[in-house]
Amino acid sequence: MKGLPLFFLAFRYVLSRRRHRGFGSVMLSLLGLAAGVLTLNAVLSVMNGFQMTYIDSLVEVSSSHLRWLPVADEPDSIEVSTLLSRVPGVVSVLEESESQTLVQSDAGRQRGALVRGLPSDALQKDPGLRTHLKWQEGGLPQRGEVALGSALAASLGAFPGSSVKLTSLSGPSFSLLEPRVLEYRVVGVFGTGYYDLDANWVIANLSDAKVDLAGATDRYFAVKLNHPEDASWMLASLARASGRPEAEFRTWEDFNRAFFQALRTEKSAMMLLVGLMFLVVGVNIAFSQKRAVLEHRDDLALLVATGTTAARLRWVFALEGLIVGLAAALLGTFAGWGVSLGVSSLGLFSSEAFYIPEVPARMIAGEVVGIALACLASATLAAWWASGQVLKVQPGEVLKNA
Amino acid sequence: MSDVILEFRQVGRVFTETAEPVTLFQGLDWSLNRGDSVAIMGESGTGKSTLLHLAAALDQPTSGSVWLEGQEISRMGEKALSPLRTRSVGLVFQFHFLLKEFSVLENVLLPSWLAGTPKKAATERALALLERVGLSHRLGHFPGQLSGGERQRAALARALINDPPLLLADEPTGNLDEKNAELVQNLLLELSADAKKTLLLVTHDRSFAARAGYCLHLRGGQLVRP
Repeated sequence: MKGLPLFFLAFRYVLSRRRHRGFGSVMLSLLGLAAGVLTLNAVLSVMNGFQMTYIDSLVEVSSSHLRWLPVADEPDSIEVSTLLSRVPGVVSVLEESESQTLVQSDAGRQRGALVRGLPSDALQKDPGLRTHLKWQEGGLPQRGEVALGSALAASLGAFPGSSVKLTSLSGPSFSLLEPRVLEYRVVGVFGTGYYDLDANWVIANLSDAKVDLAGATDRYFAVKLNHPEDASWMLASLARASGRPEAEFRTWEDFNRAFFQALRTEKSAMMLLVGLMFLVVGVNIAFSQKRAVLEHRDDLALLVATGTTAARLRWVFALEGLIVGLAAALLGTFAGWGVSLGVSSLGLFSSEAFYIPEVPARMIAGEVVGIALACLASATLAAWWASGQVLKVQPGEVLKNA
Repeated sequence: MSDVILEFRQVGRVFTETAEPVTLFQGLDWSLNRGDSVAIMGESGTGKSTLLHLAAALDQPTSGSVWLEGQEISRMGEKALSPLRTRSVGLVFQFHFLLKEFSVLENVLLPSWLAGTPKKAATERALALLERVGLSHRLGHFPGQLSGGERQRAALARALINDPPLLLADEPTGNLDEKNAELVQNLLLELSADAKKTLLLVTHDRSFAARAGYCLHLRGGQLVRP
């Protein structure tokens, strides 16, 4: 019962200030904090959406979750890939290759490109690839055939049924490299949703790639997992299963390290910058509460004379901060959630700028709670600091001189 | 139970905050018996309000001690004083000090909340007191909606809500017109007499003082009979 009137008093003070001053300092503080919470939630959810879409989608078609890079003369790599595919959590293991080439179309246009050699049954074995590699025309190439990324096909003027020439270099040493020009029939045009990939990728049959286009070191085994985020800690079990403790594996994070570090840095900088809003509003709350203490000196003196202590009254003003912080956290979180939901439909972010069809927003519970707590802490700590003024009120003096 | 409810033993109070130290009391010995009603008069600046504040432990003596209901309140910490004030002392000031954010009923109930009195009992008592001071039609009104006399009557009800044995009133009618002053005087004296309260009243009003059980003058830091 004794704590209740203090909370009641704090609540009344907040309401009263709103009633007497309209959009006064309390409302400004509340709106400032709510704006901070909203902005942080919206910005971080877009960043998360971007990052997770990248992980979900780009990694599925591009770097895969893990790659095992066998040594050039590995004799029993197929056998090893079978062993790897039996490790719990592994969805598929595909032998693939990647090599650089020059593509020339019938129309005489030339482009640099990356030839990716895929086995004929890649789409059956790898459901992630099957989902994210969208065929606009045709399908996976057999021997003597290739498929082109949609942007590359457009720039070359190539189409299914036409042919392209791929140039590969081979030779015992760099000075003795000889170009070989090989002609392939275009049988498919695909899209990945990423302009960079669609403008640079050629998919060839793995058998052709291994013989004519890729060197021995361009081969690798692409491993897909049930949970891509587990890639790092699965390295050891995969190496054990392969029977080669020294086997070289790389995770999708290794392949995209710079990108993810940039995202992380951007996220941290954004949190810091928007978080400054909490500091500014916290200072506003602190000074507003100091003024409120002065305005309520009479009340405080009376309450002490009536039977409470200044130390307990301090909580009235700290509670005011807590109430403002709580209201702002709730308001900002719901508004941020609304903005996040509407980010794609409102077109706030250009999909062209991100090279993906749309920018989905994803809120992570831990981050949302963290932001709300930062908001609460900012308001409550500021109010608590300011409420130290209560201890300086001399009830006798105030009651005597009113 | 002792007959003495309030006792000043060799109380001294010197204000040193000013350029020249001001001595209000030095070696003041005085006691107030339970159930007495006493009016303190004196010129401005003689220390009447300070005497009252010492009695409520809102001020501390620079020497000597103040005892309330057998406990030395002048050496008590805030934590121990707080329940004592709630339980033993009712205060009425020249200014009403009603909390403007609270209704009349809530203002009257406030000390009972702080005392932890059960809600039902506290509300019943508050309603009875407000009926007695003629404010039963103003329960939900805020202080800003009341006249000066009404505010002071609400403050009187608030002072009595916890049924304290000692009522301290510091110029309770000082801000009121003649009619309202008389109304408040009547209520204060009647309520304290009916409930057998000890009343320590500070006033400049001779006629009001004359209605108390006895009157003392504060002169040269001592309480003397007129």
